[in-house]
Amino acid sequence: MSPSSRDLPATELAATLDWRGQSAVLCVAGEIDLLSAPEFEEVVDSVLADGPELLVVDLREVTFFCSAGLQVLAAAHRKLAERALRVVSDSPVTSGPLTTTGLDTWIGVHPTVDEALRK
Amino acid sequence: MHESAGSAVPFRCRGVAAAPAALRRLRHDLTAWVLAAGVEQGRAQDIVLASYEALANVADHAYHGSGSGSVDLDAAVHADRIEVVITDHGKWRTPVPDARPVSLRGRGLLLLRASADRADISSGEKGTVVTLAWDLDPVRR
Repeated sequence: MSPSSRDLPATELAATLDWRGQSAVLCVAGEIDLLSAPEFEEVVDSVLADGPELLVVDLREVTFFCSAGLQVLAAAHRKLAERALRVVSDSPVTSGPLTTTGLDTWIGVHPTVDEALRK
Repeated sequence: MHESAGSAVPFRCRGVAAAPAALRRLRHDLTAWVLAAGVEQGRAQDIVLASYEALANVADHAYHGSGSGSVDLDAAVHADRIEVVITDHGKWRTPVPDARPVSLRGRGLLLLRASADRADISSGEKGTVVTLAWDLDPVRR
């Protein structure tokens, strides 16, 4: 049981949060589209409200990703310090939209959580 | 008749509500059709993503009051290509440019164009037609 575990505002998506020191690791599972993007944003905002130094968003369990999800990540990037938002992806389903649009210039895409946490 | 993608029955959906839940169902149906047509996984993902971005744009203008709120989708396998046509009866919204380095909006069209071999958007008085095409690998035909 993690002492930091608490309810995240997620019903459409499955989301879990894990703190590693000052870094928040948010793991999301499901499809991120027009239907679930508002909830994805709410979950991300609730984590940002706790002021993490680093936010790692693990998208490895995400089965669909599009511009609606990119918009949430871009908004999170703006609320954090430079390079403080990182994404974990091991599939073109999630890494493709980030690289195609050039967002990966600002938001690092890493294959594992450990690599994403590395400063 | 060929046993591969060429034998797929066209996919036709009329008057789908341009709203998040209905568009998710439509995406699921299109995904099933594309995979049943024998399209390879990576290409299937491109087809579904580009089509969904076009649908999302329709939802966006329906939401902003400039669309009719419904959309048609046709997909078919032709001899040399797979074509997806998305038709709505509203006005295409050109994304408003956001000059900031990491803009929030305007990535849908970029993804749409990057995920298709060809993308044509024609907007007229009666509505907007987005035609997306992917060339078929000649070896697999």
